[in-house]
Amino acid sequence: MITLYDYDASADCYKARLLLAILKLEYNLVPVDIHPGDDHRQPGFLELNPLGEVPVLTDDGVTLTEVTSILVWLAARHDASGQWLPKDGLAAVTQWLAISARLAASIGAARMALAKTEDFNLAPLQTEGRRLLRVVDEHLWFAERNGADWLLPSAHPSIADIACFPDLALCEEAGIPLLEFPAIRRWLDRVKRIPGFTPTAGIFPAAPGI
Amino acid sequence: MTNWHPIASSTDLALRHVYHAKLLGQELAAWRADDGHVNIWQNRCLHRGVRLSIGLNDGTELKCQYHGWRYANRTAGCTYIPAHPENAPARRVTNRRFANFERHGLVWASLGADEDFADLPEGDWSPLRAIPVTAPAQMVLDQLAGEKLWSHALRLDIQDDRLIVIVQPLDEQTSVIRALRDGTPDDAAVRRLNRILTSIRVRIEDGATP
Repeated sequence: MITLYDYDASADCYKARLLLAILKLEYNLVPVDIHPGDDHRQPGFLELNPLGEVPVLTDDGVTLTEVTSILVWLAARHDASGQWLPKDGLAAVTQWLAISARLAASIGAARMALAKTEDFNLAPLQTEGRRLLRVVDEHLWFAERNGADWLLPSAHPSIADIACFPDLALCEEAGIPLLEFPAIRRWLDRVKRIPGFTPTAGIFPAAPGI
Repeated sequence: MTNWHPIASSTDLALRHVYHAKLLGQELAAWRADDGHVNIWQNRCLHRGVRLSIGLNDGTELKCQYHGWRYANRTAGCTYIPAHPENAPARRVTNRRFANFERHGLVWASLGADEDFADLPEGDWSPLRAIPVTAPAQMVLDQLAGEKLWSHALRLDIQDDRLIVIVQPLDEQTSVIRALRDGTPDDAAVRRLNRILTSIRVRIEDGATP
């Protein structure tokens, strides 16, 4: 049985919950009370993840503490269709998973700086976030022009889309308006229309498509 | 003519999507109804001022995400207030609309009174990818050496490509380069011109930074 150690307000945890929901997998959800409970610094949790961070996923005797590993594991282990981690798209998927970590380190960190949950220097995080957003928007604009809906040039979404979605969807909470990134805004609508999509705090559903 | 600005590409207004625009500091929500009609409205719900650009385009109405007020295609009249489901909203509850039309693959809008739009060169033109620039529109225009068409547009040849470049002022600090190329450029031409316009942006922004 899959168990997810989860904090509701964490964008990384949301990535895991989103993929679990879309793949329609059954799992135990263990809430970790980070604020104000400080659960992640208790000895029991540190035994699970010495870094004291969420999400943590355990499955079939394996413990995973990095969100990109969790997404790869879930897709490789539990997606019989093979479309969420396509073998012929491995180069692009791993590229985008790495980019998703950069989005978290810039836009995600800027969000925490604005919410005062972390004492980060906001401006350089926003500058780096905008630099990445320009590249992502350009990529998606040309993808659309070629009839592709997703980050990978395939007809089906992949874990690359799931990994990048939360930090892009929550950009405005990082003080970065999405107004200058219209192709990203349209892609956000498309991700929200994936069957099984679940919203979270700050992320609204999209109108049904046609 | 000077009151008309392109605020989007026609393809930016995807069905069931709400495009977030800005012109001269005025925030706009732009959406295409299923009948093809383009609505450009003030970007705030009349109820609590929430941005309508995060609302839901159901094809005939725009619904606010917060408390469900709905506004009709074309008239922008409020059709439904969830707190008063039995009462038809008063006819005067209508969002502010802005005049617009589509030409050459761009959506043009005016914040002022309608006036003739006759100055755009005839012929067949296609929009390139819009390039947002963190610099005032006038600074962008000054950096683009071309033949002036009107206050914020010019004719410009880049090697063998004939362009019309219109600079949309988002607000006093930011703008968008919206270029039209004659005919129907192929993918290679669109990419080549996108690279050139992007390098122009880099030059302008480097110059705009003190």
